[in-house]
Amino acid sequence: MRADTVRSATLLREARLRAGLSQQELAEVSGKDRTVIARYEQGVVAPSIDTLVEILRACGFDVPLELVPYDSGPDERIAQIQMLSPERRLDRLIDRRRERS
Amino acid sequence: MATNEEVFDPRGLLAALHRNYVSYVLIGGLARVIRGTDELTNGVDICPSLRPRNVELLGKALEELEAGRADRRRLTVDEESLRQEPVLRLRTSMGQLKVVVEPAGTRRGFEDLRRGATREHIGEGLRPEVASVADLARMSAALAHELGQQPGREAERLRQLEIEHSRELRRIMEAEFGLQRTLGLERDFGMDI
Repeated sequence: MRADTVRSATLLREARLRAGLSQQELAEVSGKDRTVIARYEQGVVAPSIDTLVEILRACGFDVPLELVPYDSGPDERIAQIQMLSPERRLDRLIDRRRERS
Repeated sequence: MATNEEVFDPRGLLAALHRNYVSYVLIGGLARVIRGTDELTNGVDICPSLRPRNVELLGKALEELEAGRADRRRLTVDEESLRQEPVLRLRTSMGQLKVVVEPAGTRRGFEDLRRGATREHIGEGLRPEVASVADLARMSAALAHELGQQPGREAERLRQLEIEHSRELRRIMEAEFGLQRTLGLERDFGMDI
């Protein structure tokens, strides 16, 4: 499974299971081939956003697509800060305080 | 004496301690930031050695920094006064300074923290001894526990903050431990992670 296909694969599989559908049943409802559904769920290929929404809707779900500010989350933030030297971490603090005031 | 609460020059403050050969371990928010937390802090916290000569040197440094007590009472710097006051809050020409002789969760303050502390380059030729991530997490956890015994909303707010610091430090330990493991340089971090 490729890293960039994990999100859509997980989402599709969860939606199908929550809808109580087999891959074959979802294929029939959505009009896609069963093997295509399987490849999406295995993360072999990623669907386009339009196809993803279409299949999720066939399962009775929707994904609100709207732009929100990106939050990298605590672990990623920590990983980024860990890349800085102690000197740069202190500079960053001073800059952030200056920006705030 | 010159003490605008907004002044924050941690390097200037630490340079004065350095010029006067004061032995201390950097703790609190600034130490956490240097270790890699993502927080804003507005002062410098130190845990000094209480050896008579060091207390004398600390007094000189505080004089140079035009330090005064935050509560505006008369400032006395000697071993006895420092021992009697768990947290001495000062205002200096370079910003706020807290002198903590025995931080929460430590025994014998400086002697205890110094074992895990390492010298870190923070620019301008300064290399203060900074408390270890494990010790900082231990202090935050102990402080959270102490605050949990106190009534009131403010104590609860501060307790939550210390819990968050403790969690963030644990994440840093995990990240460091993962890196050490990857490089085959595992070492004891002093506590379970």
